[in-house]
Amino acid sequence: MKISTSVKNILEIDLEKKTYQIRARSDLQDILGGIGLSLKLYSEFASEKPLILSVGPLNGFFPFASKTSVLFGVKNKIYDYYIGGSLSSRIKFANIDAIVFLGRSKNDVFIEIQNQEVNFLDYGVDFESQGLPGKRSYLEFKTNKYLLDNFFRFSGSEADSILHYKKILGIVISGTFNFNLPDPVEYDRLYKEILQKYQRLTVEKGDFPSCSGCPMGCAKSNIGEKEGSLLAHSLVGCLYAQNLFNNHDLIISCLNVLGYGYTHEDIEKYLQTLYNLKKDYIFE
Amino acid sequence: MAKKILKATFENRCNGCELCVLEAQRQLKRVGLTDAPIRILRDTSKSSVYFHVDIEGDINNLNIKEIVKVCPTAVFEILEEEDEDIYIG
Repeated sequence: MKISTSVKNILEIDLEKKTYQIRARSDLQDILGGIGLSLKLYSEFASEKPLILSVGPLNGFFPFASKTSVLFGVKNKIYDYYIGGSLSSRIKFANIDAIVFLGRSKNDVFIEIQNQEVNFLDYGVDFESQGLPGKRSYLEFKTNKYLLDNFFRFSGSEADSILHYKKILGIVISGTFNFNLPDPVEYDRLYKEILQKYQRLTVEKGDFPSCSGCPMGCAKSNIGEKEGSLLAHSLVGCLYAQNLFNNHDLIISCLNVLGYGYTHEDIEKYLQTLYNLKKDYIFE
Repeated sequence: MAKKILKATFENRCNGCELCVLEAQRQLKRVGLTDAPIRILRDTSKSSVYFHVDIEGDINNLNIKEIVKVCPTAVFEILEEEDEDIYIG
């Protein structure tokens, strides 16, 4: 299938009613993704205490674009986290840009997402057998914390608290779409050019489980991130690869090869809009 | 004539980055995980994280040197196997 460059696909999940809908929104086209998309959606759904997972246009497609934006609000403060693992690529390969969890479930619930279909599973289900092997990522409450892919976690306990409050015991997401690109040769060249820049990352190689699309296996991969550059967290890249994600020429080339028509001016305008939007909120 | 075969000889080194999966898919001119000739499966039965590398036979029709090269932990090696179809005993 072709990449949806002209719309953002938003999956809205109502936890109380156990219903969901997917909306293809062309009005969000100017927003790159990640923190920008999450914050815009938060402004629309604030009264329903949303928990928002979002990705950017490069997740799944380029190395080091390996995080997922996790945004929610508690007592007038916005919490803005980034988690690694394979979640962002699965969301992307499900052809989803953001998942908005609205309200609170009445009972403990496991949520299974396969592409744009959602199943609500009761407590007691064999959660780890859900989803498609090799194409899934799962976030699960284990002992006293939430773990993604059995290893990765959030950088603060507030994310665990909001999931617990919403009575979400686990989320498994499988993405089965394959994407065709307009210029696969140029894409392959650019992909390898970026991969070869791993020495510019501000983290050492290690022998730990790695995030999807990152060769590093670094000691910090499982901790998650909090603050960072607006552009890197819109794309939603790894904080330790900020040097790469702040290179506008490189990013424009990546976006263009995927079929996005963003220009330097668009990126600058978007960052200014995001900066102004952020000023309306208090970030923790 | 010897045929070159990709093997995940050092599977225990796999860090789950999936660069091999994505390399194979790029060679097939697509991005995604469906119908990939390599799959990385997480072993969830143990408390630590382990990965199983599942390889389909048709991977050997691709440029397997590139798949070896992209792996950051040297999981793969290329072995030579006699092609039985043309063996004359």
